[in-house]
Amino acid sequence: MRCEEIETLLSGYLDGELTQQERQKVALHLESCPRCREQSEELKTLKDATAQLDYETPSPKEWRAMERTIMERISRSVGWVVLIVWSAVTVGYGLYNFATSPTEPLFEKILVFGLITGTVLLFVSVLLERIRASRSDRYKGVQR
Amino acid sequence: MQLVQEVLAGNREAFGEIFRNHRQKAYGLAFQYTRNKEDALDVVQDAFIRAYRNLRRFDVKKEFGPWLLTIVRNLSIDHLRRNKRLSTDELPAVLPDRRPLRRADHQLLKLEVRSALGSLSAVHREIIFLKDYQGHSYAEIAEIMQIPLGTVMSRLHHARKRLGEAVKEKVNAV
Repeated sequence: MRCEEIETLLSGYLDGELTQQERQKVALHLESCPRCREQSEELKTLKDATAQLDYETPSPKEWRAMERTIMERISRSVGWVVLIVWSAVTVGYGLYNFATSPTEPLFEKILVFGLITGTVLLFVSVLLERIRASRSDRYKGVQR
Repeated sequence: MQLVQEVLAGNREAFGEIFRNHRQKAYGLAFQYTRNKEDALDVVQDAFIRAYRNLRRFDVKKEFGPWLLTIVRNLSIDHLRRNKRLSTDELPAVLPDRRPLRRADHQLLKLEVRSALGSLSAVHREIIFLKDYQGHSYAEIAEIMQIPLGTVMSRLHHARKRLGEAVKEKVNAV
């Protein structure tokens, strides 16, 4: 194997991610090539140094505060779902009663349902625009 | 995964345990992008909330960690986009220096590795961090970064080479 081919496999070799056959080829080459052996040792040195790095981490107090915030926001989101579902049910029930009521004038029914139809059309239009925009998103399919 | 199933069954407290189990890794990855603690903490908080809201879409047969880190990664990218700091690719390329790095320089090397990591692109920094600091397998990295498995080795190797060049530049300048 040539040095160029070995070079692309060196990281995989150090990380134990090569097939047995590739591993043997790299090992054989390293025995006979001082340049690639040096490069391999250098990558290993960097890898070890990186593994020992530390960086500024949050204090236990900060973690506790974050956990509290997350749990509160999670509970709140459950509240929003309940509110939306029950609002939809309540509004739907009210509209049904209004539409089927024999005492309400036809003119008022037309006014109310015209307003609702306009709102729904606007909502659908915005929704379609969002769908079209998401199709051209290069991060489409990525879990966010 | 037992804890995820408990949360899905309605036990919200189990999510607190999930948070404690995974917060450090999530923070570490976010920090590679944001490069400051406060922003990394914001990303981590949003990521856990998103993970909770999307938990039903998570395949319980898989590992939770890589799935969460994918969310952290995407939120980190969003964060950088908002702050117009997506990439440091525009930084001047570090010229290769042929003098080898030695283990004898270890303490100095650690300092310079930290500094040199900051000069890499966020994507290079991220892949080095995922492998060398957090110890993920190539398959897990492919899942987190949403790239083919075959790309992981070449990208990682390229990133390590760039890191080596940047470190040499700094070590030999001392």
